Amino acid sequence: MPVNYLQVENNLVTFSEKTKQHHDQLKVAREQLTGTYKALDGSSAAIRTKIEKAESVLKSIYCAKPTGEPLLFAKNAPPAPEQYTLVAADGSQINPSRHRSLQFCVINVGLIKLLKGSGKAPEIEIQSSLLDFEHLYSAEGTLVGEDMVALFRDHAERKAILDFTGLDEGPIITLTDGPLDVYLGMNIDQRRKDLQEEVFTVNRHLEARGVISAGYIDKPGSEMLSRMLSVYNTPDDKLASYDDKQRPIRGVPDAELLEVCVTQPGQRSAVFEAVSKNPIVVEKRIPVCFFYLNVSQGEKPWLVRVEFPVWVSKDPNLVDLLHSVVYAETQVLDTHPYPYLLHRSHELAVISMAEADAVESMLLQQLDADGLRLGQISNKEANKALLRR
Amino acid sequence: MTTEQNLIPIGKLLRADASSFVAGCRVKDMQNPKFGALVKVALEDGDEIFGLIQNIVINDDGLVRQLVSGMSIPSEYTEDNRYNRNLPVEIHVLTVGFKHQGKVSHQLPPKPPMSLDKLYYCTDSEVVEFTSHGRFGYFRHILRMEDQPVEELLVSHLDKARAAHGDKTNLDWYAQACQELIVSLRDDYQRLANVLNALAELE
Repeated sequence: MPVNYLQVENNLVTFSEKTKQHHDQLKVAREQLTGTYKALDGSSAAIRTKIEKAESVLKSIYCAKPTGEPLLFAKNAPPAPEQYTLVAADGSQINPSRHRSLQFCVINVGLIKLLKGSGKAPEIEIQSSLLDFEHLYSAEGTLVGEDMVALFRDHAERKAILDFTGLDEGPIITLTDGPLDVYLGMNIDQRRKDLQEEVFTVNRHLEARGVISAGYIDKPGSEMLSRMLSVYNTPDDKLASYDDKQRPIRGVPDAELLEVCVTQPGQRSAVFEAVSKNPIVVEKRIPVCFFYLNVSQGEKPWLVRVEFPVWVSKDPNLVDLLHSVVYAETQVLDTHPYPYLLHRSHELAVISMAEADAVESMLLQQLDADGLRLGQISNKEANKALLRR
Repeated sequence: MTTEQNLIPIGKLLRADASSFVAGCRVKDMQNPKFGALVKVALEDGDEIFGLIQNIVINDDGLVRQLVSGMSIPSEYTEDNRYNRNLPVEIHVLTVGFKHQGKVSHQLPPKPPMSLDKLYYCTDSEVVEFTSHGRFGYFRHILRMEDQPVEELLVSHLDKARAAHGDKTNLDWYAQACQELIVSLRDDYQRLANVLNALAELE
């Protein structure tokens, strides 16, 4: 049914007024935070010490930690090398649904590899896997949720990257969309821990081969720098009781804060380490660093976050390599800057509704051949399907 | 021209109607379809439908449009779009006749080909067989076209067909074809002049 536009229209003015109020508040907050940030430009070492102290006394902390470069540091993109290997991977999935005729889950990973300087078309591959039946249900017997499927997908994505980069030489960079480390969710059971450990092992293999793994986050909304400043400004004697919910300045993303220093196209910010600690101890996690990168054409800064393993941050040449390659890659699609290969890997991975239906038909045929008369969609889904026709 | 190329499909049918059809092929197979070439679709019942390639359309999508507006595209990404991405080249074919139980006709076929039927080049002997049948009846399908470069299509077709006939024995075929065109277009001086001008470029 169509939207009742008249009812929506009644709220437009109020909504706009409140949005403006919020916007004005954020503007004040941004100016305050920017002032604090600028004043601490040369205090990277002191901030680092304070954050490490907070790490030792707090059960839960999620913020940035300077690595050595001044807070207002900005560096132009170095020229990208003429030859390198860039691999991008993206995953998609058919989530299991009790409303379907059959409960199943398919993970699809799109992979694409550029041999820069070869002049050849990139190599492409699609890896599709039907999730094992025993993984469809949780220990409690319920269908796995989207969080868990996302973890399966991330796991498949990382393993596929490891295989796909197997025989390549020279500088190799891999790009995935989103944070580099997998998201575990708040309820970590053994299966999640096992998957996390396998991802950790994959990352160690990549590190051993010198492969630079990077996560690309477009339009990042995280406030890790704001938290960093808040922790730094907390007196030592109150550090143990620091509560992020009490943070005075909220709602200013790192990307907006850094617009004061990362002003030119191609520039990156200082490198920061991501501090992520929560009460649920997961020992084998990949330590991650990040910088912000201005991928705009010069009019207004557009900052994205690029995450990479801490071991990369130890070598300035590798950071330069990553900086130059990611920036060059975003400029291929320069009207909406985003890494070309990452877009292509998404294009390869995405599963259409028709494909999901086709997989379901394959499964139903197999079950039918095996003498199992299963499969009836819910009445709710049947009626929804009528609307789609 | 009888080569292995004639045995390899140059595209598959996307859509069709009584007088024309459209086949698709991938961009990487672009070297195959040629404007003005005589092609055929082999039907399951053994019949064949003949047509002339009257247009070749290269499709785009949002990504290609964005790449076009970019400052520079790495050569690898140009190749990616040509070789890896699923952007079909559309081959528009004008139906000019069919073959039923081994007998050629320059009438429109009783039914159009079906989607996903394969499109092949005609061999030289098939070109000779089709174009030698009757008295150039298939020209009327070409001359009926509107908003299309009819003269160019005729010239391209005659050029290719003359080459096919040249390897055979019927060296008068081209002269007869030109004579037939002059007769067919005698009441349309402008078009006749255009056709003759275009044909002059073949000499």
